[in-house]
Amino acid sequence: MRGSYLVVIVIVAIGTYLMRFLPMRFKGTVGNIVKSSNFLKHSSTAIVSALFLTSLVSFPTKLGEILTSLLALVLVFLSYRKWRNLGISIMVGIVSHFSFNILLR
Amino acid sequence: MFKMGFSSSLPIALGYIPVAIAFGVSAVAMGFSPIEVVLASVLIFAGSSQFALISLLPSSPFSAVVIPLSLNLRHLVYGCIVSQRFNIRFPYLTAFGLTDEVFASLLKAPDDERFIWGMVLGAYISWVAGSLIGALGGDALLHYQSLSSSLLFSLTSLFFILLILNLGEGRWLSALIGGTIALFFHFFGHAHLGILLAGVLAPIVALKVKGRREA
Repeated sequence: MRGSYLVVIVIVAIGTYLMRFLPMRFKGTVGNIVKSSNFLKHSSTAIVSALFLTSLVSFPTKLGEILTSLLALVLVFLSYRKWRNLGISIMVGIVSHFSFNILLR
Repeated sequence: MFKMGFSSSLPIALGYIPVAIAFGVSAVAMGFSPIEVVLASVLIFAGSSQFALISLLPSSPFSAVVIPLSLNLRHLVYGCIVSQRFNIRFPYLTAFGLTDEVFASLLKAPDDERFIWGMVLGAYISWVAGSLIGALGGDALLHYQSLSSSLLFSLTSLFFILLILNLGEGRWLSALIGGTIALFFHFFGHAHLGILLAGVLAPIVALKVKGRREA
């Protein structure tokens, strides 16, 4: 193993860890500002929305891919409404996406 | 609670495995040894920044530190939100596995730190195992393009359901603004910056609009 590679990996690992750890460690400082408003709830929703859309859409967009994903998402939504089970809905999503992928190819 | 968290990590694990395999395959193809690949996954546990690291490290070690860390700035927001939502007693342990997917899944999880540990462990095992498989010759698995893209879709499904669950109390405006900001930056290849800004700017704008309506 190359020493310089190891050093960089360790620095990035420590930096990443600190970004996750420090807000938890000093939650009193930042947290009181955040907690006093609805900021926290709205921020969570915005982030989940951002994560969803960036995982759904890839550029340049391809109509077939988007259509496959949207059809699968409809089934995910219906299955979640029926069973209220995250695991089942995810499995429905994978199977339907795979099926539509083959059918619409 | 630990077991419950561990079983709840299944959707995350299903999505992580193909990405981790792709990471392992790419890293080995770029000249990294399998030990270096697995070590990166074991120590860093942050997909996008690991991809950035392996692509930059051979040419510029400095960039290989700065760019991955800037990609991870959004974790500052995650840590802040999770520490408010949960009663965290062991931040040094809990903080380690706070990835995008774990964070999103925790928004509707029971307030128990052991649940987080279980979920993180499941996600972590799948990530490290996937990286190892990729490093040791997982490129054969990735030839099944339809299968890997469908497994990856599990993360989209996960975020979709979590978004529906988070739309209550008039938060659709935050979702709309956050999504628009993220897509805008995603279009220009800076999705991570978009996610960070979505988490900071969207609530500010949405709360201002809400305040004006109520006034």
